[in-house]
Amino acid sequence: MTELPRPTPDDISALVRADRVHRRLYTDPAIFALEMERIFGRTWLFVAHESQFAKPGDILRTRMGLEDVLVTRDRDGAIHVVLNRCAHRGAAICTQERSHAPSLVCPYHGWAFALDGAVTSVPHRPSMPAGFDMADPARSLARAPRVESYRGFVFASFAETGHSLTQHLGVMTEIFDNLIDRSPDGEIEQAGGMFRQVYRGNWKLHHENANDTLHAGYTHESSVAAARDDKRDYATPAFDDHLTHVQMLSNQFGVREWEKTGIWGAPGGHSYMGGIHEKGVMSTDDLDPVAAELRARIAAKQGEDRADEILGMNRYNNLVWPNVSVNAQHQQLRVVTPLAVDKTMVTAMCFRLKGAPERQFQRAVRILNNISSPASTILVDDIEIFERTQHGLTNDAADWIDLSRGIDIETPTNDGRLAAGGISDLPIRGQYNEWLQYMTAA
Amino acid sequence: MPDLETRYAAEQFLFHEARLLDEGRWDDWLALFTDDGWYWLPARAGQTDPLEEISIIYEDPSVLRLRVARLNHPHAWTLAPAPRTAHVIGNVTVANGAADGSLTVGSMATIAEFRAGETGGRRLYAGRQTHELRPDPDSEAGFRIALKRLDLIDCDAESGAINVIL
Ligand code: FES
Ligand SMILES: [Fe+2]
Repeated sequence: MTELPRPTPDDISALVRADRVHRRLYTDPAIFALEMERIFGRTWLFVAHESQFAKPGDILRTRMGLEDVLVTRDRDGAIHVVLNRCAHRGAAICTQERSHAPSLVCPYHGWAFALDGAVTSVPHRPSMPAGFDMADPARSLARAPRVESYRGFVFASFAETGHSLTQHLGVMTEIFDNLIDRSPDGEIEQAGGMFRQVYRGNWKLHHENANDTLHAGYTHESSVAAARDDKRDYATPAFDDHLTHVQMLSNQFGVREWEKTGIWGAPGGHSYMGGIHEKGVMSTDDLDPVAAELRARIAAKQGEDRADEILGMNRYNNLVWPNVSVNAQHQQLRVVTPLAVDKTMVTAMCFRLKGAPERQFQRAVRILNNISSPASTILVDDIEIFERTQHGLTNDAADWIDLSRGIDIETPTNDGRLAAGGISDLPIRGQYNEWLQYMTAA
Repeated sequence: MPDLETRYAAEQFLFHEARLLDEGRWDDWLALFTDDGWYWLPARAGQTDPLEEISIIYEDPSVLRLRVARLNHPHAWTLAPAPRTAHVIGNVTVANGAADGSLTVGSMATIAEFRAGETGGRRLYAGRQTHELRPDPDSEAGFRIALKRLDLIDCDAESGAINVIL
């Protein structure tokens, strides 16, 4: 790859205004390279849930931005994130998504590394020069210097210093808490597999869509219409078919309904939407047998009021910038990984709530199929629009994209959030505030 | 082993189904299924559990109906322009099922797709199919599908959007 000219902070600032951004943010490889260095190379990135590598010796292969990394659990249970690149001549050590081994041994010349990345043996030492020093960090695997788990959600950063993880997450810890609280045992487990969807578009297009309520009626018109025209009675559902119907129908809100919902932005570029299934006080009469059983099991341990509070938390598409999005209601989580300026991977997974009825997990699996499979009747239309947008932005004769919706009606809340009605680009403006800070920092 | 006539009929049925899909006759394709049938694209090689493991698609006709209704809608954006597909079905094996004439039919499917435009492109799908067929003398096709399982060779790999029924 040829070296790209590095945009200066002034170059970058000229591309972002309060109500618009320049198309180069989506198409310029030099900007993408700088994003990988200054955003994905510095901030906290979600890498894994602890249940995915629960035992000592478990190794999970994933990515931090463009970097191919291994998340490991050592003999003492400590978590490490090391680069999947041999310290000798650079071979990738691990090619499997999940593996289990006492150490990492390179298949090329047999250098061996402990699960924390430290080199432990180098075959044929006599051929190495006299000054060869095993203690030199350059002989060990490169590693993310900071790795922290927030209640099982593991984040890592390539920066030596900076905000702590909880500072970075801010109020978004509430959504991870809520996902865990929904388990009667207070414990969750990633299970059932993961989808990895690749689209031909910039990574930011995903985040700009996450809390874009109004797109639903247009982008998803075909699946909404299919569900709306279906007049069957789903009152006594076999196999939870009604859930698929509800998912497709859920994008049917018009302007008036969306106006009644809300969108919140939090410092750090994070955001979520809420107020979608507001029914006032939660009534157990509304619950089908599976939901009622879940509520009863939570209530048995935590009390009735707390159960209603937990299950009543009504926030959707909780975007923890820059790489993870959570829907606690359906135990869903998505990770967004940039692959190139015009290529992005979305990894989608769901969680089992320990102590919940087994059918609750089957529903999470079903919803994951419905909304995150490459053949999803909903997601494919989002992907199509991301790719059309990416293509549209390759046109050079027009420069700016508009982010002004709702800019006059934002209200700060007393805990540092920004609130808006249900139709607003507030989340996107928040993402670019944060983006600009990272991109122009030395 | 089933007689040649049965094998021929089963093979013709698979070709008929493939043609309906290639011609975008989704309603006719859906009508091939029994009411309690299943269409299954596993997301993992050797997958046996469709309830506690994800699937690319695991749907009964009740839900497939919604999928087909979307494909028929003029604003299904992934069909503007519509993809074209060519199914090639081969290596057909037929095993007798129960005394009622049910058959288990194995085959390989290779499906080429082309979609015009910047969001389209050329794509190749391939995998092993298993059809559980029930005889249906009333239908022209001769059988109805109680299960169609298609194990794509790359079912667990990263993937672009799958815009057609395979
Ligand atoms: S490249 Fe790994 S041991 Fe030589
Ligand atoms: Fe969408």
